[in-house]
Amino acid sequence: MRNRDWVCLTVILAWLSGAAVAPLILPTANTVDLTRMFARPQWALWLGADDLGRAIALRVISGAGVSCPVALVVVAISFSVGSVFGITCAWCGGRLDFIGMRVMDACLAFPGILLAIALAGIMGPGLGNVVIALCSIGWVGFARLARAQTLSVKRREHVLVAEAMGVRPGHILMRHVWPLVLAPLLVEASFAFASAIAAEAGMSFLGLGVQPPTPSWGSMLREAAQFLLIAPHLMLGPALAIVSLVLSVQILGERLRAYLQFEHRETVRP
Amino acid sequence: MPNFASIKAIGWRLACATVAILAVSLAVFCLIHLIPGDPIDAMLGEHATSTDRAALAHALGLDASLPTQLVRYYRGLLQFDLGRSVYTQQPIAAMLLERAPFTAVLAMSAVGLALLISIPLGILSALGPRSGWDRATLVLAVIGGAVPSFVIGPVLIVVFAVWLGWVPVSGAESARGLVLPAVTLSLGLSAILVRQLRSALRGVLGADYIRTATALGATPFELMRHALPNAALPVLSVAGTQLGVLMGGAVITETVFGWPGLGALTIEAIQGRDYPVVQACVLYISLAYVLINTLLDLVYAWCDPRISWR
Repeated sequence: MRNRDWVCLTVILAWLSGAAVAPLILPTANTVDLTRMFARPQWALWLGADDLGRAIALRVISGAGVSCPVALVVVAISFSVGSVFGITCAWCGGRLDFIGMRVMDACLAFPGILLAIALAGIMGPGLGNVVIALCSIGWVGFARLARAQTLSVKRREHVLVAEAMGVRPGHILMRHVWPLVLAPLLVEASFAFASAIAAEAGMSFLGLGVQPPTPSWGSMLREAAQFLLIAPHLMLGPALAIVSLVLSVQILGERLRAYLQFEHRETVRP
Repeated sequence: MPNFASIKAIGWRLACATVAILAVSLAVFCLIHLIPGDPIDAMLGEHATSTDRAALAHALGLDASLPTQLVRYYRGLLQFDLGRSVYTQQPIAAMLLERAPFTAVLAMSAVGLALLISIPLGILSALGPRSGWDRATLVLAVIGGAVPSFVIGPVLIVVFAVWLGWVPVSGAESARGLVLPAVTLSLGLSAILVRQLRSALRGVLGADYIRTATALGATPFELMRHALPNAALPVLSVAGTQLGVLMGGAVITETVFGWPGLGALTIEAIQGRDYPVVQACVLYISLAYVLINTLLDLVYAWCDPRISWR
């Protein structure tokens, strides 16, 4: 690990611990104090105060309590559903694989983020719907990767030998295939986490995510955009939060990929 | 020229596209039934009179049985009749036609600008690995890939519209209003393109024929003339896919800059609970995406004999 990687790891851990303490500071972060409306960044108020005089630094930390759990849940669900789907398709083959592939193609026929926005928009605002919407586009990437990887591992000699020796299929799958499929999925998961953070923020920015007064990075940017002309500093906190977390996760993901020697197909972000 | 096998493969690709179009349109039909509770409640509120409710349900065709609704929906699609907006009573097809040119102009300028930025940068960084250009390009690519459009956009507004006053803050009244949204979209896009081009070029520059050409004394310019066409395809393929995505409207960027395209229309409709318009937008955007991707696949396979037709 180089110095840069330690910096990234520290940033990620800092945001995760911010997410852990978020419920404790939420009441303070929501305290309205109109005497310090639009206060500039200063020693007592690091990032200044917003239109209702609430401390932006505290709200950014509470925002981590929305963004990080949402992204983690989305990645966990997409990872589980996608890898089970992809491995099942590749392992069973035949008609099941054909149908599975068509299902994945149909999901990819929608431009991803639009589908999520439309789903969340139709189902109504709220975090649960954002999670459902993001999972419904997120699982396909894992499924395709798991399928391709299982197909190639299935043909390797150690699997053929195990089959020839009469090892039970379930045992082969868990013991000889899954560990080799897991590595690229973990790399994909790190990039998926970064995209989920950005996508959640994007949807909150459009007003589809968590509802006020609970802060999230995207909704803070949405509020900041309304006061862009008189108080541009409102943007600083949430913008730095999103960029630092996404950047750190991406850099570490890249390192993980280089370490595990897998090619990552660049995905297009919204 | 395509032979018999490739004609069969084109047929297969078109069949896949047809299936995708059917799946997309069916999914869009189901969208309105995903609304929690009663869609009429969602649009009119709970205190609407029963006459209004019945009128809206009848206007939207929601009072008919599900199979009848499905038949009507597809008959409408075939006649380019997408229904009317719940609020403005305008035909939705006309609304889409009014907004689509804005989105098309924005999408094409963004992709064009991204190619203008990424091709020279990609070439310079591939020619000099670990040079200053290379490092600068990589830093740019990483940051451009990590900063979302709703962060870049407001920053550009503050700097270029508020402080410097070179361009309007938002809107599409003048051509200068196009600059900031196009730049915002192209930054993220060129981050992807420059990395693709760099790695593709580095792969090609390691090939034997390039070594031979170098040994024969070819200048960097001549090298590029041989290497670029071979490295261009993956880059153009990403650019094409992105054009497909952007043609459907860059929802967030259009909202940030008040650019009156299809993405902004979608969000306005979602916020106004104008569900027929939401459905039509999603349908149009997805169809455009499927069609552009199919077309690109066929063009690539025709350009590059190495791509298998299936």
